[in-house]
Amino acid sequence: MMKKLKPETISKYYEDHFPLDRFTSLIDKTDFHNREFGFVVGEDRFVRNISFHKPKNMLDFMIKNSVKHAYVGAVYETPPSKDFPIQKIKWKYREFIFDIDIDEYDAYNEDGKYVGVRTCGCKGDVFCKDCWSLVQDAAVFIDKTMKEDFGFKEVIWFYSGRRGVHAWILDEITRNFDQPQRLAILDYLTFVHDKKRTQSIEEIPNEAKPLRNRIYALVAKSYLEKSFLPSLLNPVNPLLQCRNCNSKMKAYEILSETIGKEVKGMSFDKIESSLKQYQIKCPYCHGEDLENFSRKELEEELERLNEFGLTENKAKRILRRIKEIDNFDHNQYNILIPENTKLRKYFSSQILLYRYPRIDRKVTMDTRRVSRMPFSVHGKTGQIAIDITKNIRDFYPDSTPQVQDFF
Amino acid sequence: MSFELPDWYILKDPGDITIEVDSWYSFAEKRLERFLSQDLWIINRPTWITEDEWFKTKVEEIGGHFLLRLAVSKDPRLASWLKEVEGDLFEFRFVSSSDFDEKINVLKDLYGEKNIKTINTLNQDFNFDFYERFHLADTPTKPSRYERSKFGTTVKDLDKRVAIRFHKISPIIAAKKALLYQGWAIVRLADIRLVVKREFEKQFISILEKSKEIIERITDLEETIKPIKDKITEIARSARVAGDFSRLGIEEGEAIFTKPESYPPCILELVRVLQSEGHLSHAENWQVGTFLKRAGMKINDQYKFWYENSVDNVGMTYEEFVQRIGYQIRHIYGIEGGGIDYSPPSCKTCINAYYCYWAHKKLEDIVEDIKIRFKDKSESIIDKAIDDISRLIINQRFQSACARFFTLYTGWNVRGRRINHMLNYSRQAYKKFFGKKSDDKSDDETSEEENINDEEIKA
Ligand SMILES: [Zn+2]
Ligand SMILES: [Zn+2]
Repeated sequence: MMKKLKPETISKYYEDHFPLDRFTSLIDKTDFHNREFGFVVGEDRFVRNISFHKPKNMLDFMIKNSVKHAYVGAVYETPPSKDFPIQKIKWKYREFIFDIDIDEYDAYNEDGKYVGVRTCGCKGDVFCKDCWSLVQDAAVFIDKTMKEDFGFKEVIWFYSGRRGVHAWILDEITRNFDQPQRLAILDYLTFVHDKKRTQSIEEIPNEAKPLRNRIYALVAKSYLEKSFLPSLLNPVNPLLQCRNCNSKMKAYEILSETIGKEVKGMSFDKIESSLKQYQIKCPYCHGEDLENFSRKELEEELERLNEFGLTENKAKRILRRIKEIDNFDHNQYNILIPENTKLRKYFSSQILLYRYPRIDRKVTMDTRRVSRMPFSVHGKTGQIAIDITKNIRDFYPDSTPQVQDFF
Repeated sequence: MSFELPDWYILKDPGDITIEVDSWYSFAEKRLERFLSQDLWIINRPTWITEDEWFKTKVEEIGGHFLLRLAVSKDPRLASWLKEVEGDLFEFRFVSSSDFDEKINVLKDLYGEKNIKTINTLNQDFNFDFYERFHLADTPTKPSRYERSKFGTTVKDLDKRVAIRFHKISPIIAAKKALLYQGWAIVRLADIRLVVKREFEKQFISILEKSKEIIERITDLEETIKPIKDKITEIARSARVAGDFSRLGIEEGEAIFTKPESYPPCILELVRVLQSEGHLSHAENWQVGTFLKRAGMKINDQYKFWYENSVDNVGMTYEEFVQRIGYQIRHIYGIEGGGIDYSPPSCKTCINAYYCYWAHKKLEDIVEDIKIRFKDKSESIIDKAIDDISRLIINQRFQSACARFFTLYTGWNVRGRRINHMLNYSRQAYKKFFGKKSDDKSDDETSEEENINDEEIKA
């Protein structure tokens, strides 16, 4: 994918392009010397408990050591150091941070089978524009919730440099929150629990009305647009599955490769006939038993919906309505999917399971954790942790500058 | 702006109250007596006593609290006992005060004045009507059973709402039981009442810190408060004050206690912990003891039960044990202490103040327990039950989780889908497995079983 990052390139970036003033404006300068930093230096050595007298000293350190990864930690009563590590000194405060990573949406059952909610076939660090929309949706939802429900004013978003985004909440009150206070906000925002085992889903609450309405506006809309019968009207990204080894793959990628030209927008019938025509093999086990997974999924889902009284035509009507409504809100959702129906109940859990934000809890809870430094270089991808506050809705990582782009 | 706090409010500095050292002991003792007899927990001045007498009572009260705190401040075990009883008293007075404004004033003082607002003020600040915009009037009112407090009193104004800064009431935010708007959490008194005790206790701890400083500064004090401390030790070891006044009689001849299979999960778990670790917390002792009593166990059998299972008896003969540790057991049976014939706490009280298997055990461990206990049942039935139970626990519907478990165990349904009292659970489980099989049930079954919660627990 990319060439190995040269240490000189990293140093040069920090020397000429790192926006030191913007970074220090995020954090309280009066306590700078008492703040912990962490770095990955050399090949893969992680060092913590480092503090600097002045921001300039920090930058010098980063240039001199060509740090592969840079992290910011909490502020303590005295400067953290090797002799006075953070466990031995008194904690003072830390910014309130959220981390959304795309792989939070994955899950595997006991047999190792993928039971996550990404329907595009990506997993782990790999993502595409389809599944990245989960991260975008999550950022928009959390941003609104922070501002409207909690009344926070300064919510700044950063790309994490690899597979997710971070929110820094800079309102002063949040810095001193203890763990239970951070956990409370996290729990308020959490509906999908215990994702490893059962993906248990909490019910949408009655009392927390703004949160409830926001779910029926933003999350429900995303669900209906992006995850509900995704291929019914227009199969954007059909999936194939190998009956032999169970691997999943994107139909158009396989077809394009075999045929030797870009294919797109095929009907299910056409895809299936092409599979036969070109005798396409599974790239993983070389078996010749690929099936149209998307069609299978669609048929199963339609059957289920029928039980809830939703016919294929009605479903199509809902999908059309969604496209027509400009400002979709909870009232419109109530009209489309009436309350006290079986369908509504089914949808409530589907919406949350498939489209609701998933937050990395450790990052928010742990007040002594170090987090990726805004504007720093990600040593694996070479991408910069840029400020994306202005376009969280549309930001996609391939638009991110890489450190090499600066030269 | 200033507001008047009720007379009973005791987080404040007592101010100019002087108590002669000679009468310290009697002050503290009076206070302890009142803790033990809840019927003397007074909120407002009763009409039959004069202003002067009322003032004297207040001095006694405030002074008494102060002295007890001094006495326990260096002993973590006693301190936690006092914290618990003072917390109960605080909650009792909060829920029992009849005036909504008074409740608001206590909340203002507890959480800080700038962190509390009435909905009217909020309407003015934001220039719209919260009730209208969020259809607050439409939300169902809390069922009347919420109005019963664990003290046997009725709680008023439960559906009234108040606004509190969100960061002051983390447990309510975490449970999504608040309407959040611009940092203001709009909550019902019904939900706030469940957290005031915890907040009180938090502040109580910092008061204790200050008391400890006083003791450490003035070294003579230690000697002066020693008799008080001894008295507290004696009482703390033998009584758990906040009893539940609910009653549920057991019919003559029933011997539920002989069949542990019919014990509810909370008691089974506590007994398991007792047997493996040799002791339980004070509240848990009380929970098990009152349960066993109501399950038909006579006092002598209880002495034996605790003698055999707890480590308090190391190096002690059975007679010594009955003499010394037996106080608490006699208290449960109403032979010592206030002479009250106690019942085990209701599920609601267990969730908040005692032990509830569903509320307090880790979900992972619960799942393991279920798998082991029902390993003979079919996997799909178990998986379904685990799924249901997990979801209920996550939604904090612990009593419903218990009901679902009951159904898995007995095959009987529970009316209202929630267990309200551990005795209901065990009576029905006993009936199912050990009851007289005279009338073989068929169609009749559901009506019989669904009655499980009909035996509402009455004071
Ligand atoms: Zn993808
Ligand atoms: Zn294959």
